[in-house]
Amino acid sequence: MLLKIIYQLILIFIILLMGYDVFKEKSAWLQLTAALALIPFVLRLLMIK
Amino acid sequence: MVQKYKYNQIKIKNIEFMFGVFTLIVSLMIGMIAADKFQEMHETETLYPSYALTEISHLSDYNPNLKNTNGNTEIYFFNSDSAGGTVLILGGTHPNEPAGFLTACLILENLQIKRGRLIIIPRANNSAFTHNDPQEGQPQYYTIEGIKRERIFRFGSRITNSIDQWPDPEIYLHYPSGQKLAGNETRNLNRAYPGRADGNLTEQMAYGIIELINKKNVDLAFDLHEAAPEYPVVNAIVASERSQLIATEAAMELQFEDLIYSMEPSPYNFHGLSHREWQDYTQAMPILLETANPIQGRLRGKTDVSLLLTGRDPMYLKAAELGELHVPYDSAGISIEVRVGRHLSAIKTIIDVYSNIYPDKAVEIINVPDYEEIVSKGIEEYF
Amino acid sequence: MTPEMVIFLVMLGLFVISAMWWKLPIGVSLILASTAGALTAGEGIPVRHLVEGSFAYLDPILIIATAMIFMEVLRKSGALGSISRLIIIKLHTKPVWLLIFITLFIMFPGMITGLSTATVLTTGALAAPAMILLGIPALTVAAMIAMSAIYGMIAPPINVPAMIIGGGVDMPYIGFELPLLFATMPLAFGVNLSLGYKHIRDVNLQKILPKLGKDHYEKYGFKLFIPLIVVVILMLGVRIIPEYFPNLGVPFIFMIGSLIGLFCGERMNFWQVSHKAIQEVMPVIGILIGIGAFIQIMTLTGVRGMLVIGSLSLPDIWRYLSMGTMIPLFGAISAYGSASVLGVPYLLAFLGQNEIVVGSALSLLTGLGDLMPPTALAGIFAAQVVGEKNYFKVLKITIIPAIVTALWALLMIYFANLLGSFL
Ligand SMILES: [Zn+2]
Repeated sequence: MLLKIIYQLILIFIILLMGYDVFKEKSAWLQLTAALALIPFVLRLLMIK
Repeated sequence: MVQKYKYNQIKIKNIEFMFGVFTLIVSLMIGMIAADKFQEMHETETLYPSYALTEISHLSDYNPNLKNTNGNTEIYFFNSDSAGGTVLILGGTHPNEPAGFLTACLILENLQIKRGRLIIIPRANNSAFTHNDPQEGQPQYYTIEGIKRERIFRFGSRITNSIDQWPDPEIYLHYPSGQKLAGNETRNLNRAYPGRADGNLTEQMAYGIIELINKKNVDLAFDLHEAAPEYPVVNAIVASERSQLIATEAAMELQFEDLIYSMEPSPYNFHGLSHREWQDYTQAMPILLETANPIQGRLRGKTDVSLLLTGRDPMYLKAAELGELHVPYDSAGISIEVRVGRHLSAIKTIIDVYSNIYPDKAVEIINVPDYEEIVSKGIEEYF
Repeated sequence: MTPEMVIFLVMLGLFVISAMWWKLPIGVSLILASTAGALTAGEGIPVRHLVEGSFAYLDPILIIATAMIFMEVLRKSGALGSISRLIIIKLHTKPVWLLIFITLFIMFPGMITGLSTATVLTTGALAAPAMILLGIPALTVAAMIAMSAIYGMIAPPINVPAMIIGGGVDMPYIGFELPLLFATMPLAFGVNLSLGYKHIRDVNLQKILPKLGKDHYEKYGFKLFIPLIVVVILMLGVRIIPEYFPNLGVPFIFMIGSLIGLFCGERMNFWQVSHKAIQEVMPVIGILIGIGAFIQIMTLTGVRGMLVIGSLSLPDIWRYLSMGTMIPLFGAISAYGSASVLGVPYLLAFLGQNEIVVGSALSLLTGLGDLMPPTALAGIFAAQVVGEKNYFKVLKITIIPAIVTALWALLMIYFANLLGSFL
């Protein structure tokens, strides 16, 4: 259980970094890549999938 | 000049920011559509037990740690008026093997019991029913147009849902043997026995089932499965040392009905399997049944509900020509009726053989079709 | 032409057009191709399938992302530079031992995590500057790191493809140690000595020393290496004495290492360092997400089945050839995917041979998949580590070692029973 919480914290950190990256990538396509990559991470953080 | 340059910079920054917001909105929409589909799977299908039902309890009654978790599941008791033995039937150990689940459901909804006691757990790994395996492209649901009502059943995953048990270790260390398996097998109920009361969720389920078998003095216990047609152990009865005798005799009787089964001994050195650990940790006679299920195989073509129900697949036809399969396969496919029918006939025959050898522990169930009957009438007849 | 063939060509065609012609990122190209495949198959836009497929790579992405953060921290703290300094100063007079040491050093994280990427990004990145300073050309260094990473990922104790292949036939991961050592160690030493030895026969330390940069070791001492040591202990512990060691998982271990690293060397801004790391791996994360969708749609539409049946239906002699090529080629999509999709059927096709030896050899073939573009997880990161933008220049150098590796694996399969009696 504790491990799950730690991994959710790691997820939050990675999601924040990726979300920040959406605005920092130089090319529009890489912005889109970062945004799409967020989907599975957010769904796992919310414990939906 | 400088002023203008700065202005352009700001404008570009703005466009980047706006596009970022736009991509996030797109992702959010995609995520929400997917999330909706994923969450639907948490709705449990209603089962309609026959009048023979005497009690419904839960796995959490045997391992309280399972209370309020997705690992909890219903246990249906069918007690007769006359004394006899106790039989346990497990469906849904692997929810991507529909014949195992449907066989348990069909018996549960149709049976009458004359002697002894029958216990059915249709969704042994309840958590695994709530999601699908990534990259398998399998359907979430299939429909059976039953004569009583239209039924929609879930097609789940082989393993416990990640949201209930995460993260996986890199290697799965089986308790108590210390055997090593790939990390995600830690969510495979049929690698988790005998389990632990306070282990991971899958181990807790396994522990609950072992407790049930011991506390209710189960004499004969079935674990219903399916396997890919290219897998060596298919159309098989797996028996441990204790159940070898009745399994062999039943296999011979089934042969008279043209139902060919291979007899597989429970391996000594492979731990976590139901038959292995039920032999070692309970008094029950364990039996595991396998039928051939193309939709879980690696050689399958288009993956859809039709493949699930008919087992018809041009790719498997080619595989059969290549000699890759361990079961007879032709253009007729391997329908759900054939697969459920094999399970039903095998269960009935094994119970009969058992009851003959141990008359004071006899169990008698009626109103459950056999292979012939279900193949000729169709599975719709029983739902 | 079968419908599966049409769908496959549509997916492949659109992927090539969008990746090569439109120059879109590989990840986006894969998602576009998957969507087109689903539309062709009459599935509409199956959002659930596209998203579900990507979940297969959620845990690997977490490992890659945290490994990258850890490496950036070590780079900033000064540990990275100090390690290359130490390697050069201590071992420059003994070239054979130097290469053997570097090989084992690079392979080590792969052996304990089963991930080629983690290897390239950690010890690969540590060793690269030293190897370049010693006089090995950068491209050769990248090739050596990529190959060592692959051998490391296949070498025991942890070999994920072998576990995946074994899991497909209910074979526990037991007794693989010797066959896997046999499959990897001779190749690892052979390849690295043949690629590197001629460049480091005589090293002039006096010429190199000025290029080594600031010596952080003098300033911070042993403290500099604490994060690395903690990570190694945490990773080894859970493997050697799992009964007494908490199972923390690789991402958590890298995060612990990163946080410790903040206090063991040069100061840094953790958020900025982490973001730089994420930015560097973002294309690879995109690729993995895209591949997840791609495989799911291939499976859904029957294309996967067509490919598997196609590989299995070749006649016996060709079967070896097809194994040696198809499994690594499928790695263009994913090495793990290749293990599951092709490795398992091939193992089933060779049932009756010593299964552990065959499984080990098949896992070696899947490892080569990490060289195949576009994903080329080992290769692309190795190129990145030496600062080379064009991965194909690295790929060219790895071709001969890769062919030798494939032949080695095929010979292992051919003589599986004989080997099985020795190993
Ligand atoms: Zn099963």
